Amino acid sequence: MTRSGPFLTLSVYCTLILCFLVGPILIIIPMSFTARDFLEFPPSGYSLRWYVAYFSDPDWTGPTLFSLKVATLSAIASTVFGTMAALALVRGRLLSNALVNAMVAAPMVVPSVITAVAFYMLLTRLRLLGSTVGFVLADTILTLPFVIFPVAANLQRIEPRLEWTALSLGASRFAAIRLVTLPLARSGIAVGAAFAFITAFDEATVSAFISSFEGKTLPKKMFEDIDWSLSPVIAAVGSLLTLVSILTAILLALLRSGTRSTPAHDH
Amino acid sequence: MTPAPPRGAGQYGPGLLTLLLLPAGLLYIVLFGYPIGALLARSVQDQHGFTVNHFTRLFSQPLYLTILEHTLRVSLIVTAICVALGYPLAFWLTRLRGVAFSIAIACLFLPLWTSVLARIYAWNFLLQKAGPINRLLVSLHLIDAPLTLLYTDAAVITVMTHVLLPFMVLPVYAVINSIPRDLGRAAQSLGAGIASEFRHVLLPLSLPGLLAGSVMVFVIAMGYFIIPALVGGPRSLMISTLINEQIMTVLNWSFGAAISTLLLFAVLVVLALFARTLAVARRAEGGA
Amino acid sequence: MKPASNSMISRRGIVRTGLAATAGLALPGIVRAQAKDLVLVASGGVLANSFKKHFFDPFTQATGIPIRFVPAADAEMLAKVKAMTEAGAIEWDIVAANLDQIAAFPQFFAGIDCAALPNVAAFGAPGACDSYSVLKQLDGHVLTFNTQQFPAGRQPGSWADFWNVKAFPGPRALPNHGTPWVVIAAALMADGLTVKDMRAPLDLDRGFKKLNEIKPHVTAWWKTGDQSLQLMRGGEAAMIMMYSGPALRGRSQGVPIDMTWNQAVMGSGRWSVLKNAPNARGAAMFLNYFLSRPEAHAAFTAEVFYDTANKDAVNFMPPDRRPNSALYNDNLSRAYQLDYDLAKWLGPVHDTLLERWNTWLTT
Repeated sequence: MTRSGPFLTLSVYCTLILCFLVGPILIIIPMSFTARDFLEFPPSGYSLRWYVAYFSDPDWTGPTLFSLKVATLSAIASTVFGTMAALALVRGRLLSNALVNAMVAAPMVVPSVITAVAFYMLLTRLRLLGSTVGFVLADTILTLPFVIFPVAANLQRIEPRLEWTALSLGASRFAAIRLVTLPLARSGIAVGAAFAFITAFDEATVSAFISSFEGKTLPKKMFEDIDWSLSPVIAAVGSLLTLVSILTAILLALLRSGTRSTPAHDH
Repeated sequence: MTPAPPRGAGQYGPGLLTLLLLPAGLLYIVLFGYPIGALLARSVQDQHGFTVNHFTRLFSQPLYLTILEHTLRVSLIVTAICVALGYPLAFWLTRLRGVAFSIAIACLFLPLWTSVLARIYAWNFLLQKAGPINRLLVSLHLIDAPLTLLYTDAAVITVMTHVLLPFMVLPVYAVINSIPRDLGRAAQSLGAGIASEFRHVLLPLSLPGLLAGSVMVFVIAMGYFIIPALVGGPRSLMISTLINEQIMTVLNWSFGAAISTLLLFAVLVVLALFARTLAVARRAEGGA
Repeated sequence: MKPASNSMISRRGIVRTGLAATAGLALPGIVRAQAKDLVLVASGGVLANSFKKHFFDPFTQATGIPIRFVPAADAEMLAKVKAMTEAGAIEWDIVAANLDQIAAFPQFFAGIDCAALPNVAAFGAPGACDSYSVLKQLDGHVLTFNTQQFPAGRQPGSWADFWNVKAFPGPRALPNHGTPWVVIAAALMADGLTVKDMRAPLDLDRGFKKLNEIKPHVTAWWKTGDQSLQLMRGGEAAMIMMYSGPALRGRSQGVPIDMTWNQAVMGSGRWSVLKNAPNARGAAMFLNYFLSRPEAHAAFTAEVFYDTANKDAVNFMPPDRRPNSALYNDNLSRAYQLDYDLAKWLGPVHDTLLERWNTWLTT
């Protein structure tokens, strides 16, 4: 690692950007501990009542679990299908075409209310309104471009001849893809999967339309009182998710240092 | 540099390509293209059949093109800021190790986990007249009276940048991360500084990541309505709000479809420009 | 209020409740233990919970008809009804809609025979029933102001005051939530029209001209009810046009604000039955039942600060809360309540009005 002047400047610049990213999130945490029954910052009094309200109300925990389920299933589906499609687009040299690009981006581009109405009509006809299957289908489509773009960008930097080398050594095409190309694209795939999950988890417009008696997602629940008075539970949920993501990051870091330290003789 | 592999070695046969594209393609065509197409086709229909009336209205009333232009401007500004902030950040990330790296990555993911609604409210409190930013500026005697930060285009651009920055940083990071580190080391051993290494090695090689990030940021920004609605001023109206009003309030789906078609066309043009820029940059790179 | 007359009214109210409840169950041809679900659609959240507690659950108990509640925000409700109607598969019975929505799209709604609902005559507040709907809640857009900036004696009381930035200085806030006629109505009253003058067609040119005067003083154009209250809490605005419910709730939380019913613009949330609703009979039973039991309405209002369609409910409220009620004394007659004629006129002009409004706002 370079400790030169330019790198130091870069470090200062980037630390400031990270502060810009994290600052507003850190405001949400004190907001969630307010004693009042509306969102305020700084809070005029502190309590845990909104955490109690969150965990004791099935109308909050139910949508959270439903959103987690839908986001997980659709992220898995769109990561698998999106990575496959990205491979084809890159190896088939299709991605330099603006029209192909636009088609891939389409689920991101089409205004969400148009998608929402179209899905509503489609899922009504398929009798899938409000069902988990309906949500997973909708979210898979909506999140595919979030996987395809980063994975394809990553694949474009991987030399096709690496796969060819594997082929010439007797590997099958599938083995070559699985053992050579995909591991090299793992950063892109991980980023795509994260984007897919997060996008599905926070999608509000389409999920408001395709829910019915069942199928209330967390964002739909959050927006419910927007014309009345939003509940500080929203800040409590935000803080809880922040906590979960910090714990996940620590866990991953520990796991990585663990796997790295096993063959660490060469250190 | 290295001997080229036989022609077409990296290419997949039509069978394999079809197989790889099949699941996503089916979803795109059957579950997305068909229902969306049917809805958008209403832009040239009314109860009597074919009509161009909706497009005539779209182009004869100045409102729609004005708002489209404003939407494009805001989205491009947000994309440019995300490039300026995100690209160096992505590069920096690839040079971090251990705890520093974990902390930096966590900082990038943290905002993503929190719902956009909660983040908008956080910004609301930050930017208020009585909010911490104004109070800080007043107590430092930098300003005499609180500034109007909220309900401006600047607020819209700030919040959108905050929400969309990770969508720029992470794809670029993934691409730079896959560039063999020894390329950079080679450049450095040849006496190139970090700035020179960046310009001659990393920038050209990481263009696909930059393009992917820019496309995502730009396209998502074009579709936002909740951010301009909650932190924007009366002039921060973006095109999605107009579409929402047509679809949900006045139920004029044909006209809503026409505005959407205009939006799609505008995005297509910008994506073509992005792709062209990339092609030009590539040619410059591969010209040697 | 004198305590004596108080208890008199209360007693009479209770007697009426009993009668009407019986009348509701005795609707001709309706079997009491009809088990078919009634599907009811309204925006979710706090309001829905209160409706459930005070009306849906007691209705199910009284009639045996289970209510399946579908939370759908105002915004997406109509689009869903349109899609459902096009698909020819109506799954909902009753929807909560505003009068302007109902009047603009009468093709989606079944007519209502007010005469067949005995509780309309017994309990209905003015405008409780019309040919397409029954009043759900009296939600006005009211003039609300900061009481620290405008203490007693110097308080604004009309839209003319709202427009008068010399006598009542301070930043203003107005709604920009998809129904510009509400703001135009206020502008017309600021320009000298009275509540009684508000008839179709509204003079839009005059309204926009008057709006030009206040535009430079408007610091925020709010999109959501929560945002409007947030503006008053944070002191961003000194005076605002906002929903009465959040305004009264804010005041009860200690936000230094007060509101007036004078010249309030009432959009009226209503219950309406969809055309070809699967359970039209259950729907009629619910609408009739909903109007009864003033004590339930008073309890509802205590929780969410919106009044409902039962004119006797005010008598069941604690005396100190009564003056807030739209039903109290002459509050309702001082307000402008959107009528079916004006709503019908608004329907076809809404699209071009929004276009003009958006153009006006952005230039």
